[in-house]
Amino acid sequence: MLDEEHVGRFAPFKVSAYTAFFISNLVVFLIALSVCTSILLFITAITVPALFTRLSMLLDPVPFLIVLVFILLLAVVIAARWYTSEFFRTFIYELRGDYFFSRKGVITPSYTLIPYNNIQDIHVEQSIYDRIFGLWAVKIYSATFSRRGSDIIFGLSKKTAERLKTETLERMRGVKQVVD
Amino acid sequence: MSTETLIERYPLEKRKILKKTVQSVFGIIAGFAVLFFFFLNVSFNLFLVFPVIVLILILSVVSYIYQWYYYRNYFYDLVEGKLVVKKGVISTKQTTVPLGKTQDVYLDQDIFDRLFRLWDLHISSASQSSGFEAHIDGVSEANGRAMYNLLLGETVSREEKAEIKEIYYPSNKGIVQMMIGAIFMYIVLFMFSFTLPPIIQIPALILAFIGLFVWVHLEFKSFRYELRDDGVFIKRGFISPKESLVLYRNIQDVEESQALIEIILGIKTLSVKTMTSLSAQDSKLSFLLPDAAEKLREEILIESRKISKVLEKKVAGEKVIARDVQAEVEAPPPYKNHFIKSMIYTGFINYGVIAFVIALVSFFLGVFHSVNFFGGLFLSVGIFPLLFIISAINAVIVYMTYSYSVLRDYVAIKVGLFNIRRKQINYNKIQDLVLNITFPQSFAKLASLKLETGSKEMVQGQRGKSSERITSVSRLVESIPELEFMDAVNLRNKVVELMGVSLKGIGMDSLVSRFPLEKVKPFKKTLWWIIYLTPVALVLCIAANQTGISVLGIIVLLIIYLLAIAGKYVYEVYYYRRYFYDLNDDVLVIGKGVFGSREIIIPFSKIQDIFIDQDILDRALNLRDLYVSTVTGRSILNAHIDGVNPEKAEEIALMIIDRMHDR
Repeated sequence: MLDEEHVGRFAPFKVSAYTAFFISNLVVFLIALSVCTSILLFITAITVPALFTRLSMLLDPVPFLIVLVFILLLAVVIAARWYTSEFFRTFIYELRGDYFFSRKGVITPSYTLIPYNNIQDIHVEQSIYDRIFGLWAVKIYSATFSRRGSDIIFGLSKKTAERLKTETLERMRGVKQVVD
Repeated sequence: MSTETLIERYPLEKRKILKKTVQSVFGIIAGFAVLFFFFLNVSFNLFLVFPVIVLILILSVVSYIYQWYYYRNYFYDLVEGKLVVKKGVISTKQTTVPLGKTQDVYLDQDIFDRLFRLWDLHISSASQSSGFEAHIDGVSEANGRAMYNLLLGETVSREEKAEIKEIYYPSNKGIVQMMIGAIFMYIVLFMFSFTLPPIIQIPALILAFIGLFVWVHLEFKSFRYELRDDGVFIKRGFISPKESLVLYRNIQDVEESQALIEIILGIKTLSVKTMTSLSAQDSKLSFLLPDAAEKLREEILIESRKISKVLEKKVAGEKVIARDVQAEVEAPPPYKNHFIKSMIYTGFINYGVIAFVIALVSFFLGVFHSVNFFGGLFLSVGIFPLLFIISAINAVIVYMTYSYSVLRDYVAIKVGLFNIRRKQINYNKIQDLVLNITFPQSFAKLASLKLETGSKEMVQGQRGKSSERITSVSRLVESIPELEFMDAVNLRNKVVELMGVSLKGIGMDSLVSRFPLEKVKPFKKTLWWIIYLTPVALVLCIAANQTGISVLGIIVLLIIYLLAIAGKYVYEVYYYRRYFYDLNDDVLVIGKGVFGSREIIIPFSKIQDIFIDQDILDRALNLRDLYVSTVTGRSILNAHIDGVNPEKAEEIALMIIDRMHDR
């Protein structure tokens, strides 16, 4: 219901955002996968060492490992690609009537709603990584103590980021209220 | 209005580049020194010294160029009441703070700033990051002050222009307290001085003594507190001066504290806290005589109420505020706290459970295992009185020192034996109310009431920069514990009324009956429990098997495992049945808990944002969690409704948003 309400995205993400996010996903997935496989191998080696000796008798371990690594790499690339495109397809951020809305996440999406009068400050940022791809991020902060008090919209062009900022500020102006 | 930007009118000083370079060169040299003294075991000669000097020179030049670019890219301006600060060479950061959101303003200097006669201006809003991101550093004193006034002029409306009403100086007794610190420092220096040859040692010690004395004197003289029309102004520090203005309207609570040394000297520290993390460390008014502290406290509280009433009227129009009717002052605590009773119940139940578990484990091992560990039975008997005595002493101390009063305008809570703290909370600053009943309390028919403001607490010895370390945990000084259940409910209703909201309609045709939780929720929770518990059980069984336990023992372990799962399911079903949430036009109420219970009341005006999320099992079973957050740290723990249908979650979110908008 919340995500169906939108008419269209605020502005499309930059094309290079896909590349940037894909690369960072690839790295994360690779690390996660290698950690998982090594833990799995380690546990198997401890609990059922017979399995390994039996396997190495049947197969030549070197080509077997090469094929295994290749398959895993391929899987990671496909997964990262799918995840990236899916992420941007489902990523919504919008300036609605009374509140700022965003939806983020592929498998377990989360929704953030911040009423305009509760927005504290807005940051437009570019990290070194973003700079390589010419991307900008907008952070919208509310006053909450929790980690979720901020919302980060990344993968924007400079123009879009500035527009998002000005339009949010524009909407904040109507409502002047103090937090207490 | 002139068209020139703020940075054109009040430019950064060129010296800033030099200052930053000097600072980094110092860092580089210190780094090399550490490297050579501790890690590289080489003797000095010309071949080594030369490249090191060249390296340092190159690094200095690089850092100079970097700083030059940084200076070039620095930008700040005031656009339609919003402060924009932009900086960064490689990565860029641009911060926009609407001045209406400003919590407090600081002007300060560190040692290098002082050498180069530069000032830093900090603007802090209530968000976590603005404290250290929204600052303008490296302006001259005149420009700094001009901007400070300009920003404040924008922050407060024209009729509340800053004018000094009253000036307070700290009591001379404070110098004694500072001296004690200096003496400790001197002792450390004294220890170190033995590494020096005697000819240097004695003059150095004398010099250090005089130096410390002069330093303490100057530091002490630099303290100055002013009550202005718009806020409390605090000035302190000689080597690195700091001026801060805490606006009345942002003060969450006022806390008086007295550490042991302060009790002996008869002075007090007053801290005025806002929501910013910077205020946790910087807004202390120390070394006040009790009378002065009391006077100052009352005045600050009155001012802060006055301002928020003006604002409230602006926002609410002609809405009559309920608390004006409630005129009677109740200085003595209206309801009695039962610390001892609670201690007895809590002690018996908690330690009883611990002892029981130890006894059970040792019995199990004794019967099924070759270890024959019956000694645990004795251990469990021994541990019980020991823990009980410790908690009894604690309870007696709290019983003797705790007191609270519910006044017409604020709640005051006092606690502590050697470190006395007294906190005053204005009703309009209370973020949420938690009525908490723990498991032992439910037997004793007691309950605790927690009043949460959003002020941040400094964790010992941490600078404000890392927001991670500053918590706003709920402490005794923010709660009224161990009341009779009915008393707690009455008190809660009273506080709610004084806060200016009503509980009318809560419990009738409640939200939970209209938008119930999903039936699969207990199942999902149990599933997580199984996922966590199974590996533990497996490891335990394998370990037990390898240390030579009988087959019967393993069967018993497995039965325990199954019982734990069944128990969890039953628990979750009860949890599900007792889950309660409701809202009226003013507040959101969420209650839960099986053995005890926790009920949180949040006025809609205090809700900051809403967040809906799900974990992987939620996704599979089509459930959502709805979080409501206020500025307090604990609200996120209590204020969530988890396990509702996606559509319902979204509908509830929109209902809350609507009510927030009405405020």
